[in-house]
Amino acid sequence: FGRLLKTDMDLNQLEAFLTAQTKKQGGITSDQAAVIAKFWKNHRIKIHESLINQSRWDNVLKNMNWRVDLKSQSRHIDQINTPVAIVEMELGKNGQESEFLCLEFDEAKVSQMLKKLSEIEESMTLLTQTA
Amino acid sequence: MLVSHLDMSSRCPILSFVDIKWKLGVAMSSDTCRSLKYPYVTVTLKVADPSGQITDKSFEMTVPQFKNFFRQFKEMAAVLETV
Repeated sequence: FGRLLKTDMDLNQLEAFLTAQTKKQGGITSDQAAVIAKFWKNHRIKIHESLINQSRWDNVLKNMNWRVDLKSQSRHIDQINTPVAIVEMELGKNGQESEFLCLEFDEAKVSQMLKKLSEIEESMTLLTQTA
Repeated sequence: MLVSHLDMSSRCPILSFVDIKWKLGVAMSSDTCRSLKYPYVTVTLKVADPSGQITDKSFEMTVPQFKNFFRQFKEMAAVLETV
């Protein structure tokens, strides 16, 4: 399996690889090849995800919650109520304790954020298109 | 007055968002897997504490995580507009 994991074979490569193994002396039988192929087909995605997780050792976003508050600011006699979003982000590295980051965004800041996030989405779309 | 979307108590001091930097990359291979090929975005948030001191907080997101992140901010914008 080591070989399968390291190269993350697709199904065509897998068939070719297994066929070669059955032909080798001291290699596997064709029954064994069939079992391995079935297992790989069923578990490949989960295994791939697990491998991806192993290679993510920087901070990742584990969770995110938010609420909207009405902030009262007393400037004059009348109180000015501004809605603000309070966002709580759970950040952490694999297997380590999480760090919580709490941020306040007013409407303008959320717009600023959305603009940048749109840029990211655009780049992502281009990336998956040219892949 | 509080308009609570979720019952969420502040687990940390509230900082204010200043700016966001981002970088999109593709992890090609690693010591555990020669053929990874997954895109991910690294984001650095510039945040200010009440005294005005600025720090950077960085983290990574996969494509589905990013989509969720984006969706949440769109929802936030919608709620802020209606309040």
